[in-house]
Amino acid sequence: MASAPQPLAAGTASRGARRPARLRRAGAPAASWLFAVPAVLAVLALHYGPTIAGAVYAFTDWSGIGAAQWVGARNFSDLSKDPAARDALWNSLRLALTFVVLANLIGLALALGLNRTLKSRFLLRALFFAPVVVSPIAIGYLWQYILQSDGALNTILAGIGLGGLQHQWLGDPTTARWAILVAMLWQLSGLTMVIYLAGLAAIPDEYYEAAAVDGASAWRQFRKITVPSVAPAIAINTTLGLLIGLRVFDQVIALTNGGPGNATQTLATEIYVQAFTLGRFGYSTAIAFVLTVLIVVMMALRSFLLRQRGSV
Amino acid sequence: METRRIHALKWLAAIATLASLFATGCGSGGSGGGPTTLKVAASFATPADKAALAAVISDFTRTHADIKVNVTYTPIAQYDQVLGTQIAGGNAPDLMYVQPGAAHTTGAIPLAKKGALLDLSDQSWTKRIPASMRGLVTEGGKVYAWPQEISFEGMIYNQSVLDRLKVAIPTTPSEVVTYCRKLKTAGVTPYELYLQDVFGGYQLLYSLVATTVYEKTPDWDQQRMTGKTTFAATPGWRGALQTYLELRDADCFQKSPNGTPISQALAALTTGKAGGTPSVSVVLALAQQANPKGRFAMAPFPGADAGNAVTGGPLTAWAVSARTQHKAAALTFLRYVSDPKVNREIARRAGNIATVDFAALKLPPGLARFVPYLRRGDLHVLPGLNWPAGIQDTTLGPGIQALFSGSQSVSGLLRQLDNAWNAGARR
Repeated sequence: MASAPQPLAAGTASRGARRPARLRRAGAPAASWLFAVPAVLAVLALHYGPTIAGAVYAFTDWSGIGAAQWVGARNFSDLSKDPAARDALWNSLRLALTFVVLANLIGLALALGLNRTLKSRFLLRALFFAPVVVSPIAIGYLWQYILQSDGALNTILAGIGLGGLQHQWLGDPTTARWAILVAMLWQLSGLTMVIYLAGLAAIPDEYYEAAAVDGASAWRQFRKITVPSVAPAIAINTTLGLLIGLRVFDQVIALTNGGPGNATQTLATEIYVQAFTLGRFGYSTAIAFVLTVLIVVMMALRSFLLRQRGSV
Repeated sequence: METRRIHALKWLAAIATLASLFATGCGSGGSGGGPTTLKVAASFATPADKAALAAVISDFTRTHADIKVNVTYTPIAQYDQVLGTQIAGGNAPDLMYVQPGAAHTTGAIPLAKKGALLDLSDQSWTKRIPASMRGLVTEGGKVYAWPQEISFEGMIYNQSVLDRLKVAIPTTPSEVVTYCRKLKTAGVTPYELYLQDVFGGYQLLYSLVATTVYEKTPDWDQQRMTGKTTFAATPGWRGALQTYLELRDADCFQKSPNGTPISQALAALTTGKAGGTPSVSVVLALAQQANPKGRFAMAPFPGADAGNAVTGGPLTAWAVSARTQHKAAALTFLRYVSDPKVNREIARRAGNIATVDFAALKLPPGLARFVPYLRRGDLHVLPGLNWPAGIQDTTLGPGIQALFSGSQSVSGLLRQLDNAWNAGARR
């Protein structure tokens, strides 16, 4: 008696289970592929196709005008011996890594500060995020007006009796590098803050309450609850930071134009100089090729390290 | 039946679309009796420069109803990139400004060598190009461009400040030192440099080497090209760079010119915080516009006690794309801008020297101090214009920044220049 509905139930379940399976095998994949094909073809044709075709120029001596001659790996061989490219590579790496660390620290500090307690936190969040939506080249010029020799910073220093601290911020190779980093951090820390805020919002209050009852200090709560909980945000911010840091161009052009004496030239600006100042489009494509490989390697390394720590 | 009708409608729509596309394509450029549209690319160094060209184009289209001019203006700093990309993409403008000489990848000589420019040798107006400047637009004996105006390299002075301090414009190196001391004592920067911009580094240097290099060896560029000399082996280059540093040590410049862009230097000059700034003559008009009540003058900067020379040359020239579909209209435009009356008008508006008046030494009043040099024949083509592309902006400019920041020596910079030249010549 009790078993009577079983076949029906089993049959219903069986039909229900079979239908999605059949859909997965035949109808659904075919339909989804049909919808996806135009978009996939467009991406391949408009994005990856030209990129791969463009990469071919890395193996030519193309000057930007006229025909290109195949030169094999000569551009890469020249690149390995080019001190300007080596300096640009070193500058890019140093800038990217420092930016990732500092942007994460500042973004996390801002997020923690503006997470719950402050009454004006919504206004402050908007203020800290506002520079993110401004063009990087505009930010670069803004900081140039602040840091140039008769700029706002030196004027303020003189005005408050600290004239001895006045400095040629953009004229000194060391401070010029920091100037670029400061402009980047000022603009983009708001973005890392927003990502950390999203991570912090997902942590239940009960975790902290339970930890407090157990007598955990604020620092211990931060290490044992906050940091593991925002691990996905760390992964996202590290990825974005590396990408932004390795590709930085606008701020360098606006602030220092690669100077003084090429001290702030990055791979991205070197690509520009080689292509448009020296007419070496083939060689500049080779640098772009190396930059792309570098970004892929850095991303892979990041994924590996964070996976080891269980963050992603 | 219904399906067949839809199919037929689809074909009709496709044919109509194609027809309209063809009609659009054929329509541009003026076939069918409409005006010809010339696509023009132009750069500008100053707002006056841009306004001068816009006014001339407006006059041209008013008197030539059959030709429309669609001009794109680009600041000179970005122009190489814009024009280079257009030409590389097979989308060259019909008419374009090019930099005379070989210093830029989109210069007259590199583009002519690559067959990108139309040969203008058979145009009668090319005879108006001054003989001393002809080489900058000539390749293989053929003329490829019309130099728009001529500029000199020198020092722009705030004459009002100098008069107030009772200081005369120096004409010898020893007078320069006295001038620097007097202005410094009065709290005025003697010469405001703008080394943050790479081109700012070689402005003063080009005034110095006019005397120390080119006066003694007018064909130095050719000698360097053929390998008969080098930067490192030329005492004049070494001496000029050392003089540059000696002027720094004599407090002739602001504290650290590496942190100064041109906008700040011009502001210092026009507001009287600086007595002078090195530049090309086209900037003189800009200074005057910035401070209409001030009085400004330009003078050669002395490289030696006697027998000084000056450098100068055209900064832009008109060229026609070899691929233009509107050759007749483009040549009509060039005939118009090379007309002496129009050429003088462009130069007057931009505050520069008309190409047609250059040989006759008819200079604007603010440039009167250059006339004796020109009369003696002591004018040399701006260094760099004949050099392989990019050396000025990738090696010389940054090298001078490095000299001033102490990370480069004179010998090191001269070696770098030779290496860059050799690499550029191989390309």
